[in-house]
Amino acid sequence: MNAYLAHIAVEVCILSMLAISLNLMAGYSGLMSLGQMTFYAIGAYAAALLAPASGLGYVIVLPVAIFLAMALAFMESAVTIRLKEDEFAIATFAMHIAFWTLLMNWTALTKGPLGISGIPPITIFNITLDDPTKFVFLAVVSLIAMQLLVARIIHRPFGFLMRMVRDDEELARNFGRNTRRFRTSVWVASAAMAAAAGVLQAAYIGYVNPSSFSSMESTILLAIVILGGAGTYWGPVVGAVIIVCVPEGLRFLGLPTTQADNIRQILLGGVLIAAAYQAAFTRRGALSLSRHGAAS
Amino acid sequence: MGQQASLVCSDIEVRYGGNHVLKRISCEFGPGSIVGIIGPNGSGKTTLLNVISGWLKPNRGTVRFGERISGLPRELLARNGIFRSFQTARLFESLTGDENVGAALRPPQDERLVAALLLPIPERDDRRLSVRNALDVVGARDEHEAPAQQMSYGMRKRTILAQATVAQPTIALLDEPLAGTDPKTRSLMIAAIQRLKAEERIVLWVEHDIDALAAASDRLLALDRGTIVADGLPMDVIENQGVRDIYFRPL
Amino acid sequence: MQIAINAGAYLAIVLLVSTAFFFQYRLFRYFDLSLGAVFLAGAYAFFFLTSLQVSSFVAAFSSVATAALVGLLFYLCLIRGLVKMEASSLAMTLCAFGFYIAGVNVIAMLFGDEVIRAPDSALSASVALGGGVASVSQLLEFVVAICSVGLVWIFLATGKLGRLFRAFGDNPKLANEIGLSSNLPILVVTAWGAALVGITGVLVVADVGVRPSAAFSYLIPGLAAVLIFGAKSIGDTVSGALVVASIGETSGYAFGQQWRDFAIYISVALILAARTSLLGINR
Repeated sequence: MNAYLAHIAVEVCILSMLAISLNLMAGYSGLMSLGQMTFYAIGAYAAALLAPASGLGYVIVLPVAIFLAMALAFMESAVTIRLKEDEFAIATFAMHIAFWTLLMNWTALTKGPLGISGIPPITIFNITLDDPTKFVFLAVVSLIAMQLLVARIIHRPFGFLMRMVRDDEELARNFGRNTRRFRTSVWVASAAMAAAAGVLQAAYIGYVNPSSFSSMESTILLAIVILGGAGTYWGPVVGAVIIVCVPEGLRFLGLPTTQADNIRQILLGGVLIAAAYQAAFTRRGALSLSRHGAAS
Repeated sequence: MGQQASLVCSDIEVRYGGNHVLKRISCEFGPGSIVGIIGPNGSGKTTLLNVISGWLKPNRGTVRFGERISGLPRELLARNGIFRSFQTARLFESLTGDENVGAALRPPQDERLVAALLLPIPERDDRRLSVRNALDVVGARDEHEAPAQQMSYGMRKRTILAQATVAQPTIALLDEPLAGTDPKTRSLMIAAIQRLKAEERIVLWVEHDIDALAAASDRLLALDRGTIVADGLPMDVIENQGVRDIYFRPL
Repeated sequence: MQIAINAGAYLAIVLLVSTAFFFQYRLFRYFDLSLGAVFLAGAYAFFFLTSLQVSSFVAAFSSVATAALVGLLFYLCLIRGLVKMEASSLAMTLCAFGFYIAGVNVIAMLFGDEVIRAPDSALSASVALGGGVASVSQLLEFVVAICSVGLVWIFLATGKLGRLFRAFGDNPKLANEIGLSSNLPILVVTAWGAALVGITGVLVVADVGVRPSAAFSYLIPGLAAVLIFGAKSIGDTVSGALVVASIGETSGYAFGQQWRDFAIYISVALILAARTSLLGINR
């Protein structure tokens, strides 16, 4: 298989997983988080710090990364538990940019802007996944596993609770639902998924640095989820495919890489503006920004 | 919460943004009764319901039902048998009629994430049956598969009443359940409200339709500007000169 | 003394930016993150013009005008429509964020990602002050901030503008219906806020320089200042600015300058959490 195509496939899979994790929170449950990248970063940095240094296999690194991400999500949820949707977005954004600042400045641990390199590749059944054509299988399997997990959740009673809270959190409380516990559950699950994606990314690229997790990346992730269709099952994958493939297409047309990246981000900024208008127009919109939406 | 207990409001005072909305209201509601609440707009009717259901904490005073319930979170009160509906016909917009009514059943234990991960999809036949029956009672079976946002206003009101029926509440607080409905629907709904009457249940309903209130209530409470001006049998309260004065005050 | 100078300059920046946030929040109840793009517009316009040997005075004036224009266009083309549709605060905030993202990337495409600093000019000259050294920029920041706050206070406390603010703040639906969102004073106020942020951009690029991603470190403290005590009046925002500047400078002093921003960002989340517990009858 062509290494280039495999690489594209891996990028799509990992970004899809990340988008799926945010979709669970923002799309299905109406919790507009602008800070999802924090947990992705935790996954990536956990891999970067634990895998090479201690020689721990990813079998250990993955649960540790997930645990750390879930712990932080739990704390963030506690802090934001009663916030309305706009304050919630700002709070998650602020927490994320704080975390990113930490990554940049705690150089003793993270080496700051230089980043950490030399992250070992994943080895499964004595096969070292050190190039895209091998890694792609793990990426696809992981994506499928995550989608199956999401399918399981949305078809259970918890999925019904998600729909209720997304439509009208206060009304859900009126019918006896503990929406604080709900928010925390969703956030923790979503963080675990993002961390897993982060571990994969770090193991794939072999290098992490804070710029991939900047404050804008997190907001852009929300735009990606919206683009593909927030709150839909395949939406996050569609969004990931578009966002990975369009700049590649532009590159073929001769556009330099950085420019392609800027254009990608400008388009995603446009997606947010369009989403705002759609939400205002329909009073629901792709983001379910209804009058009584979640976190209101 | 105690069964056969009375709902007792003592000295309830609510101030909101400079307005004295409820002025030291005290009242007691015994089990097995349907009590209508009337009063002009702004008299504090909805605020009283807010206080009882835990949506609002009174500045002063307590609400007791066996033990003290004022100050407890609304979801806790809801789980323990308090049902509350809203003037604005508020429903879960993307959920169907079936699902909206189903939401009013006691929250199942398996509505948790851990259960979603570990347990299979549960059988819900008995719950589905309760929902269908409740919808039948209010005559809302036909549109039960439409999402709420596509429902007519009358249909929404009937769905809410179905919610009240299916919830089997200990205390039912209905805020203008009939408002905006046509006469034909209305008689169906009044019958449904009458059917809510049960030995251990207290029903409080706010309404402007005096005839409906008189037909279905054992007792009537008249509020005006935050105080109770009349309290007793519907016929007596309606005939009460003070009440007539309030409703027919010169503009 | 040097500490006081730097702290004063920082406070000034927070005051200027928070005033702009205050205007938009008091009027329309949303967080106008597009001010980040406005900031960059002012900074990069100044950089561009002075690199072309335009005199700093003309360049500064034009840059501030550019920034005001950007802010005004954002309002007219994007926010006003949402206000008329009675959009939620979140929708408007995300719209502003989208505009910011687009703006940052346009700047990055035109000027690159690296730090740029305007050529040395009158604004970057140093002045000895007490025991320390201040740049003219820093002094101007301080002076403009104080004047600005004074002006805002005068205009809001007395007369028409104050009533307009209260109209929108208290009953946005009605204000909308009578067409206030296109009212000239609203446009003036929007441009005024953008101009203040533009001035900040000009002074910063002349003094220490900027890069596209730096906008947030000037923006978020302004936002935090509005959040702390709410935006009932400019006094609340000024008090907020004092608190935020104190938090920032203290953290920077105690832990190192690079931690100043971190302290502010964490504070935003904590402020929001705290004020929700204090506000609200029963959440």
